[in-house]
Amino acid sequence: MKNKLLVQAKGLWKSYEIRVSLFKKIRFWALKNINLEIKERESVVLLGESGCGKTTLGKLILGIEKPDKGHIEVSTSVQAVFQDPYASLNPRMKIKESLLEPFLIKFRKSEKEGLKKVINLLREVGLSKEVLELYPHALSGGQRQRVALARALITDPGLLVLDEPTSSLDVSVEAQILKVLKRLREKTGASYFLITHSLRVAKALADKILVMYMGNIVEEFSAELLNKTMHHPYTQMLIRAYPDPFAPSPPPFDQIKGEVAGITEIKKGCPFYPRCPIKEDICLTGSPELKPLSRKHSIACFLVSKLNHLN
Amino acid sequence: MSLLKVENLSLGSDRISIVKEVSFVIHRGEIYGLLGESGSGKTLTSLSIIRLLPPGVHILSGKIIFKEIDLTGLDEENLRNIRGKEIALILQDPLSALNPVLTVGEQIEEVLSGNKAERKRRAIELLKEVGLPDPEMRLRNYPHELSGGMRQRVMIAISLARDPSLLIADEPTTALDLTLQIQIMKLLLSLNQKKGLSILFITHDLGVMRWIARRVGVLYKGFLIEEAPVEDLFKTPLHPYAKELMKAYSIEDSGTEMRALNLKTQEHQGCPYLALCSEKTEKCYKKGVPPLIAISPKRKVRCWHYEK
Ligand SMILES: Nc1ncnc2c1ncn2[C@@H]1O[C@H](COP(=O)(O)OP(=O)(O)OP(=O)(O)O)[C@@H](O)[C@H]1O
Ligand SMILES: Nc1ncnc2c1ncn2[C@@H]1O[C@H](COP(=O)(O)OP(=O)(O)OP(=O)(O)O)[C@@H](O)[C@H]1O
Ligand code: SF4
Ligand SMILES: [Mg+2]
Ligand SMILES: [Mg+2]
Repeated sequence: MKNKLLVQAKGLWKSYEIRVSLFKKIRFWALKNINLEIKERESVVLLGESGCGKTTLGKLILGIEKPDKGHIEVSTSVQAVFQDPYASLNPRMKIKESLLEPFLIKFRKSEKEGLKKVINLLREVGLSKEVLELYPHALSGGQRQRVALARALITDPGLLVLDEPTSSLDVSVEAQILKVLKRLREKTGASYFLITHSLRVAKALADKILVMYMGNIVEEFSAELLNKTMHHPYTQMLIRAYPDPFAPSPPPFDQIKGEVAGITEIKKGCPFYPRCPIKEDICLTGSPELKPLSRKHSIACFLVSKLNHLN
Repeated sequence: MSLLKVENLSLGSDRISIVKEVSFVIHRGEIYGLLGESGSGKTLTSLSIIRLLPPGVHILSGKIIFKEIDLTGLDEENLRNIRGKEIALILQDPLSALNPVLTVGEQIEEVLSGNKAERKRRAIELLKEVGLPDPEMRLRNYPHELSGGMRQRVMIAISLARDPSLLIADEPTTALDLTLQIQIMKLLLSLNQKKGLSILFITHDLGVMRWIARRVGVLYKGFLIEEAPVEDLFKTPLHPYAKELMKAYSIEDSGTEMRALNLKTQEHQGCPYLALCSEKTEKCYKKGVPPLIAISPKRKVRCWHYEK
């Protein structure tokens, strides 16, 4: 069965103006030529460098920001859990009000019914109803994040944009949240666009993984291929930098190097060039395009043939 | 020699007790880790050290001895001399910690001394040190123009600006990608080795904790339930909660039960882990809160099974 397309984005470009000196502003591209499809019941996970444009892409899906070029079509209701849970919760509203508000606006139902659903959802994310009477400041970081998740779920959205929803949670709570998300997908057919830095989370929830670097998608693959195939040099670096608590020796602190290129110093060439361990002169000839290796895997790199040897 | 000694620290609001008689020591030049589930009291414990507790939460009892001075008895003015200069803090929430109407440069230079040019030079140096690209340009940016990870690195730069002797780092790498996380870990490790910077490192990330801390204290519902050298904790956790944590990590998508948070005023009658513990026996029901039992000179655990 073919699942319906919920999000279809073609050739998205997004720029910001940044002041580089007192008198000069430059325009830099936070997103470059992004193509994205999210199907019904699909979980798309976005990995990427800090500051590469992940949140910006999330904002385009949510319609909070508009692309400069390209177009994006979203054919379902979308809710979000932001990276910073303060942004999702009004500090002057009790948790109860924060949670009830979107429910009452969307469904014309009674407060009593709303409250029932609120309490159920709180239980699902591992919070008890005692938080209802509290204000956000009286909760710990991870507790706030879970309230934000419950708030996003309360209107039964077709697509959830989750910007690092579990990064402030410990493994046991994280496992719970992932379970809630999976269960919900079974039950309601919801889709996810999940931004994360955690390979564990990506593995646990993703159908498809996108890897982004400086506004470009540099790799796209089916989740089951993670670590089982050749990867883009940046993806490989991510995999290598993962600190495994049960490994016999520490992660390779000295092998992961390199400053992310500054946006003022980007010349032409591959965006990963400054940090790439296998670069050659050809990499300076242009920005490599995302090319399919198979139906389930694409990489943007001039030296794909060399990648084999690294794994 | 100890730099910081937290002794029987209890924190709470008027209604509830949040942190319960927690004690630990950070030696000079040591990286001490606090591990614990969400809501266990890690952030409040660290904030209490420099008395930046949110309104409504107080130190109920206990001592916080930093370089032989009890900080709990210090007046605000003396405390201000210690904050930032002697003890620096990287907050869990970088957005709320930065001032939205000041540029990055203004915020870093604010804590530096010297003339304008010197402060600017030092600010750029600090931003480079934490791996922020385009440091010179970033000085002119406002916090909302930066990504989450960039803000986090600005925070780290500010906290290092005055060469503190103790750095409290509350989840400093959670907002960063793995390649930056490892670089920040390396930066903190090298500051620790080269300058002898002592660090109280808070995280719930087992991988980060394993490779940065030397000793670790595990918090559960406000109790310190285990303390051990880091290798020992990961190889042979003693407390049932610590065991569960290590298991939850290894087994993908583990079947941990719902841990509903309990904020009730209830006084703990028994072991804080009783409800969820898979190793409980009759003894645990009959007795009260277990004491922190010393198993060896370096290992302590709060569980009745280890009673001699
Ligand atoms: N409102 C804005 N004005 C100017 N620049 C912005 C604005 N919002 C974002 N940027 C810039 O766009 C780039 C991408 O930011 P974005 O927040 O999308 O990154 P991210 O991938 O989510 O990073 P992180 O993992 O650190 O959260 C960054 O260089 C950031 O400085
Ligand atoms: N201002 C406050 N007033 C009352 N209770 C509070 C306040 N801030 C936090 N708490 C409660 O104190 C407990 C400990 O909070 P703390 O922020 O120290 O947790 P944490 O271990 O840092 O958790 P996390 O990993 O989620 O950040 C939580 O259960 C929280 O509900
Ligand atoms: S194109 Fe060149 S620089 Fe870019 S990732 Fe591939 S090998 Fe490295
Ligand atoms: Mg972001
Ligand atoms: Mg905290």
